[in-house]
Amino acid sequence: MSWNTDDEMEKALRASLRRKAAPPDFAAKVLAKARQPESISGAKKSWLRPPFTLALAAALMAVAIIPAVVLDYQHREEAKGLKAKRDLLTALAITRDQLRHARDEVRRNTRNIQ
Amino acid sequence: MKTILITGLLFSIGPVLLAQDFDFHTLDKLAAVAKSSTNVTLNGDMLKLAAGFLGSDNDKDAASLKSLVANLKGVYVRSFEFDKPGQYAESDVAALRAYLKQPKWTAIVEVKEDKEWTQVFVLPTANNTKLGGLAVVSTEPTSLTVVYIDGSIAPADLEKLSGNLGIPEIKGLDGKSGNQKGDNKADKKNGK
Repeated sequence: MSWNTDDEMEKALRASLRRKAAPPDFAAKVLAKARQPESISGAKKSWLRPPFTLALAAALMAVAIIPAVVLDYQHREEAKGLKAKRDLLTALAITRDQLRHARDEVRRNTRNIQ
Repeated sequence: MKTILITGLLFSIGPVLLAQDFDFHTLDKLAAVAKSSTNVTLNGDMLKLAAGFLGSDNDKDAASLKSLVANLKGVYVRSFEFDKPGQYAESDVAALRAYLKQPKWTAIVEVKEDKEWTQVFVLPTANNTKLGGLAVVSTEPTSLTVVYIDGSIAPADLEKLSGNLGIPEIKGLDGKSGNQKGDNKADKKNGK
């Protein structure tokens, strides 16, 4: 923009400095604009909000703990199974010895009778 | 003086009756006064678990043992060794003897000699090809052993069972009744 005279420049200045009423939706537009940047950063950082961080922490803990729990369970089951096996062999050994003893007694007494 | 009674036959015909609970509770109190005791209670689930581990240490005859155990519902053993005679009373086993006198049980061996008394009972089934159970009661002045095997046992398995069948010898067992050192409470009592 150029002015030929000082008067023209003065007039332009006055016109530009004249008080003007704001458009009716100005406040709403400003508020909308003000909210916009915050909502964008919120979306970007939503995973850092407490419910998500807690869930993430819980998931990480579960990933760390579950294998240990499974291993512990397997060890317990193995120990239980080995004890059951030992008990079974003990029981069968006692049964075998009792049956042998009974058989030997019968044989011995049968021989004595004959 | 010897009194010998050998009764019964393995294949006698008997009614089809399912094995009922064999009450060991009257015996469990003896562990408190016994020098050593063995207490084995393996129900169906525990037997399956134990069978799953047979062969894990290259057990001899694991396959035969597994087939023997496969049809069992329970294995129960109570064995006590005492320091001196008189630490248990005949009345302690009277209930068990009475239980085994029921018609469904058949005594196949009964040896009574001096103060030693050994009884072997079987539970016949209708088809006579298999037994429904086996019970042994053996008493001596300083020992008492009761064995109850609940479930289907082939007579051939009994023969196998009295052989070796890959069952390891247990230290302290001398082939006579009730002389085994316990591996459960006995170990605790002996401070092992």
